[in-house]
Amino acid sequence: MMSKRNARLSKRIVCLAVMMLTVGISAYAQNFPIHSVKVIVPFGPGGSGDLTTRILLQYTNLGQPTVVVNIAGAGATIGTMEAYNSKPDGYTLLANTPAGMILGGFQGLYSEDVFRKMIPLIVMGLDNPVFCVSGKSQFKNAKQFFDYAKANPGKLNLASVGMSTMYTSSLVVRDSVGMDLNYVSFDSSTKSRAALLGGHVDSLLATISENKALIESGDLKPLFVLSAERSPFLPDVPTMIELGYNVTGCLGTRGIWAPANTPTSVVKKLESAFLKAAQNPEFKKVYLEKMAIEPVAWDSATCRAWVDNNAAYYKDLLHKYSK
Amino acid sequence: MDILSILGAGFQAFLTDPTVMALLIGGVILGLIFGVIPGLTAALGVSLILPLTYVLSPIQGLATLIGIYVGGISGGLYGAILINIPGTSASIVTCFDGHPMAKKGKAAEALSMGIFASFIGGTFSMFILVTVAPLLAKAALVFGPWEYTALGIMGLSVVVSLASKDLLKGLISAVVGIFLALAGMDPILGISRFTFGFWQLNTGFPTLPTMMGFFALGEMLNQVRSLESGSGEMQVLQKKVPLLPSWSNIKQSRLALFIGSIVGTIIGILPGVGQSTASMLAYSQAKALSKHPDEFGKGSIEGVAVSESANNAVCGGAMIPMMTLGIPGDLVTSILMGGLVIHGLQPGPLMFRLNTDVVGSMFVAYALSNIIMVIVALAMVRIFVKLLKVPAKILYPIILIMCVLGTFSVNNRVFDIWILLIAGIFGYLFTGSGFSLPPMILGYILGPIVESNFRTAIIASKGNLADVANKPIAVIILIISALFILLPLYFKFRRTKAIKR
Repeated sequence: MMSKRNARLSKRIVCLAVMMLTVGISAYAQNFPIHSVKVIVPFGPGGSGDLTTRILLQYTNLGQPTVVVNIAGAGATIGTMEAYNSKPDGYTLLANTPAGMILGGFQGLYSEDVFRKMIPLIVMGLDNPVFCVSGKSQFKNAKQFFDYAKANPGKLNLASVGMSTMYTSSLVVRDSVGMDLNYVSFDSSTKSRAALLGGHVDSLLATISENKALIESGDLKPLFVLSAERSPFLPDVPTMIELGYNVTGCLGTRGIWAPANTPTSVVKKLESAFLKAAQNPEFKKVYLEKMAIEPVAWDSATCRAWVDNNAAYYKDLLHKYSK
Repeated sequence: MDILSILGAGFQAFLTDPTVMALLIGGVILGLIFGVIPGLTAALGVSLILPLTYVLSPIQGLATLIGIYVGGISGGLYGAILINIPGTSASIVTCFDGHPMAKKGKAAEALSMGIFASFIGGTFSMFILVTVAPLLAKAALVFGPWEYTALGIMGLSVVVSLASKDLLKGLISAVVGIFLALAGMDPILGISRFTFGFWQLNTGFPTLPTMMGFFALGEMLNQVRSLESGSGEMQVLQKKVPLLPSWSNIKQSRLALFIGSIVGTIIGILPGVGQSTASMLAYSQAKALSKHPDEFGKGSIEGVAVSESANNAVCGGAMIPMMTLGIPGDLVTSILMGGLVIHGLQPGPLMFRLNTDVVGSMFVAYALSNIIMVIVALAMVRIFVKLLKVPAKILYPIILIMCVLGTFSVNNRVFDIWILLIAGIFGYLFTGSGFSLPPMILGYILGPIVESNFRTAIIASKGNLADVANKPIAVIILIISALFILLPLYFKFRRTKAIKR
């Protein structure tokens, strides 16, 4: 009798404890955020990846302050891993480019789980690649360049940075046009630009935001952009699609991620706060007029679909060109 | 692009808004404080203050950042001279002669020369920046991967003269430096090397914790051994520091000042090389051309002059390609560029035409911050003399804490603090076994420059090594490097032969 009552009591206590815990957790998630939210930027301060994030956060209202923490190194791997390994409570987020996240997973910088399991909250900006030759180059347009490259396989050099998004974009171009370019990887985008201006390479693949000024001054000649539509910053430059190649390449997406297993209610709160900020006309104006970045506002589901579709595409492409 | 109208617009901006001047002075003072404290660097100061400048006007923000930059690069010399612990890695070379001078009781002379040389280097590069910036930036573009490779090899070849005492140990030390820099993701293909399964090591041994470990922590451990004996290490500064170095000192160092200023400016213009390399290269040039090369490393005033003029000349040099082409010359200018971009200013040829007030005020801010730096630096000397009276058992722990704080705040991760501590212990054992640090630093800084540029060059020339013959500048630099290696050996050979006779 006594023991039965005891057993019942202890059962009740366990039940109560479990209930309190779940209520506690959901209340905790409901009240999110109760303190400041940390956003890890896996790039150094002052660069495009840093500034685009800081500007979005300026217009984001979570009811609590947001803090940017720069953890740079190893092509965004270090900061990405710090975020991946942090507690999934919504208080630590990651501002990394979705395309870069996918490629990091495929190239063995970290496991594929990082981009498959982490939750993309928003893509707020596009900084697409533009294919340039020097202002003094003999090539007047993309067709001339393609024809020459096809007639002289492997003769022309294409400079860009690293083996991630820009390399994959170069594969997109090579594959669709059917030309063989000698890809020269530099350890920073500024050095690749200096190499083109100094005549050490024949062409350059780089982001529009970083090269707009030199394109306007005539030092760089843009041949085409890798995007679905023409860039608002280079309205006279055709896309690959207009040139007859049905590819958009490796879109230069700027986004924010939450660690895997972040509670859904927290994800929803973050997502709506970021979407609201990205739709703010003032925010769009800053991106357009100061940063030369196309403002967009993709919600979490759109981002997820984009990541999954492109992951498959990139995987095939990388596999085809891996030696 | 009339330079006078640009400067006029700059001065006007300064005169119409008094807060700009106040921010500039505040920036220089803050920069000097960051520079003085080991572990806190100019780059850290600029990156911490950068977000705060977003709310200021572009001119106000840039004045603040440029002030911090100039102050931060200059502030490292105090620690280097007085306690053999450089405040920033830009002043590592100043230790070589500054501290031996201090030990001989000439700390006041070394400090005043260091501050004077910083001013000369900064002003020289400012003059170049204002007069021939756009022209020079274009000229610097002839430097491609092959030329950088040759430049790096020239820097490495200096090991032979740096390690004149014990060549074998010097070479071992340089190789250790190169190996340290190999760890992490390789710069071209992004493949992990020597990480031993720590993903945190993918970024390699980061500069600040490694340098500070070897120099600051290692040196502290060394000095801790002699704490009890009270060797008078800290009572080095007896004389008052004069406003200017004595005429005879300036005369003796004029060649060194000139070399430092020129080499610093040139290295500054080349993207991605930086202060430590500049002062190291200038130091070896000055040693080779000096009338008293044997005194280098034993307390030569020329050594202090060349190192401090070179590291400050880099600032002006590095701003040249950043402002004219949007290609930053060093780490700090790449952060400065963020300060321009956030205000919608795209550095490049058009900025000189469209935003003359911003360009002009950057010039003026840089010129003024050099002058303010001298005044503040001389005033700060008095404070440091007092600080030196603090017993080492209190001073060193404080420096250690600052190193740990600075290391952490650069990249916000605890892993770097472990690197600092391990590098410190390793540095202590390393110097204790008779290896000198300068060749190690040389290998650590220049190894990656040679590696990444050589690999880029060889990819760009499709595997053809002979392509270097098409690059006259690279060939000339390589010949100079060969002379750097062979001449000291030849002289040594002749000397020993003469002694035998």
